[in-house]
Amino acid sequence: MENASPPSNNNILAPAWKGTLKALRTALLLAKIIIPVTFVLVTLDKLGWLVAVAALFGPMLKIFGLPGEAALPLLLGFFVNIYASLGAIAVLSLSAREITITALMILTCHSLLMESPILKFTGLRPVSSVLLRMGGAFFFGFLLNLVYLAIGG
Amino acid sequence: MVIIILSDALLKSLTTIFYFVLILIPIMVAVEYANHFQLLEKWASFLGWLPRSLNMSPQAAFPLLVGLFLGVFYGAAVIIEYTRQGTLNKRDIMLSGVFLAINHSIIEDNLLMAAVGANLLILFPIRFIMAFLVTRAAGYYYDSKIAHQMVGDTEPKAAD
Repeated sequence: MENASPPSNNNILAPAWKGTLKALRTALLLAKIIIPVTFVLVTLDKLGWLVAVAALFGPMLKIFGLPGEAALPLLLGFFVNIYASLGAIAVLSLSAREITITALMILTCHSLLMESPILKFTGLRPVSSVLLRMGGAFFFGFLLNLVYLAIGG
Repeated sequence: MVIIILSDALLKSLTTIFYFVLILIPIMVAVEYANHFQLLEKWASFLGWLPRSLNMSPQAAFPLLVGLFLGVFYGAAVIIEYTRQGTLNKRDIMLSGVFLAINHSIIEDNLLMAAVGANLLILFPIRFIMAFLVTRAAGYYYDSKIAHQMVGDTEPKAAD
């Protein structure tokens, strides 16, 4: 009994410590991605290149009610990961409505290069999961924009 | 010009990271305690409605739950383990994949998006409902394909 109690006392705080360490490790990982992404984007912005990107993607993203520069977080989210896209969203000045639509699209379809091989273990071929998620992202973004237009948000 | 860019970018990225730390610490601590008390195993029995409403067998509750709360990597790990044990049939494995492809790590990812200004009340339910509908559709597609091929092997209907 007395042998068993000290480790169990330790154990009750151990998850909190372990969780905090994991959170800090994740935050460090995020920082490594977000800081460079933010630097690149702020530089592009100050050089006026964001406007060029926006002009390129503007017509396409109108379907989702998004401005052209939203292409940056979308592409970063699809092909890099959520954290890179978070950096991009934080730099751009999008409205709450635009951020929510972008976020829905990215959450549906992200880290394709990393997650598609994982999803293969569930019998979803990478082609299928990529089509499913990208199609889903476009469809949900389109729908959410319609909902916003309908309620006038 | 360079100074402005540097300070601007540094300030922006540090604020973003600061918010993430605020969000991540409680999430990770909660996850560790959930693991410690094996909460997910216990909740899986209460979450029978999720695989049932997705027209999947009840054994799929645990991998779905793990994927939803911990992310697609952990969800896939459980699915691989269940596949090895033969706990899940092919249909359940495929449908868990479809559901989790669209909707996973619902706490962390949604909160991170909320940290940069997305509306949680819209994001969270819409993603869930969409994943639900797509999974149901995939289930119908799978069943009709199976029926079409007249595959007569042991592929069972979702048991009740």
